[in-house]
Amino acid sequence: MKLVREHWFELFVLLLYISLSLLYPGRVWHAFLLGIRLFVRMLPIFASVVFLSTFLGAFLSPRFIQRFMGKNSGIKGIIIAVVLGTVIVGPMWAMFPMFKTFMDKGARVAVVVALVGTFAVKTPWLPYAATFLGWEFVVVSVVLIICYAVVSGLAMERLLKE
Amino acid sequence: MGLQMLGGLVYGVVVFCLYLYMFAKRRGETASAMKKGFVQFLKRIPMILAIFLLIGLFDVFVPKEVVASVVGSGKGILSVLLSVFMGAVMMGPVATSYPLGAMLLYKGAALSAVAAFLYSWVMLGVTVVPFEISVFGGRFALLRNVFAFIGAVVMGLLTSLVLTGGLF
Repeated sequence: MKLVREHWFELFVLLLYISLSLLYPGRVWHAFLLGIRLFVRMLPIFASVVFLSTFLGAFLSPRFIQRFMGKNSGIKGIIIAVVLGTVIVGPMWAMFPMFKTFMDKGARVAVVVALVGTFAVKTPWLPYAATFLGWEFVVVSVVLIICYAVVSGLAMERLLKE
Repeated sequence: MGLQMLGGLVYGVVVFCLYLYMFAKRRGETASAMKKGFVQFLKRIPMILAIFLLIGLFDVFVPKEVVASVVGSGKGILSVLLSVFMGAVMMGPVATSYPLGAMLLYKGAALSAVAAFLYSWVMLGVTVVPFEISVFGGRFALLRNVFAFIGAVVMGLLTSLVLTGGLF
């Protein structure tokens, strides 16, 4: 029972694969290979983030995090989050363990949410995005994403406190 | 994709150097951090693997044209909401989202719908929600996703308002 509760998602995917492979073995094999290929491609970044988060967990002092991202960091903490969030590349979910480490060390919820939110900016991709959508679109979306990240961070902090 | 691989490599090298530096100074703590990292990594692998296998299924069984037609054919707020759902279900590197967005615009989709689709692509991921819950806990994960959903809709509409003067 414990196995099912903790790994329902993996078991669900497994069952999906088994049942679909009875109907469409060829296409399921294709999907499997694609999934594995994406997985392998993501593995280095994921491994790095996990090891970085345990490293920070060991050596980053809570005092340091509290000073820059804690309750009394005020606007400074939010600005740090916005800057940090926009410059990091990679899939958002891969960073979750690291953000969780920040929170465990005393970072404000607003700061972590702003960090997650501004992740959508993806600065290194912007010139590429502009070739498809134009600079006007890109500039407007960057401004909107940053504003919303800060606003939703503050709102979530208030809601989670209750 | 190339940038993502490069990003991973850079991360890896930076993390390795950090470990190396601290290993010289505080051997015991560094070793235990490394051990913890290894355990964490192994613990999370099954879920990550399952997520990517699910993405594989999605990519093979749901043709892009279907997604495009659903997002593109809607009218008014419905097309925006549908786009957000589509973006949340779609997975994959952002690099694919921009050309897809441009294609949708070219095919006559509303700007607000396309913008909402792009925001939702990066901010929401149906397949990674179980992972998010396992890291942050249910309350935080749920709230964050609700906020991301609202954000995608609102920002989609605002983008269109700023650029074209209309909502759809």
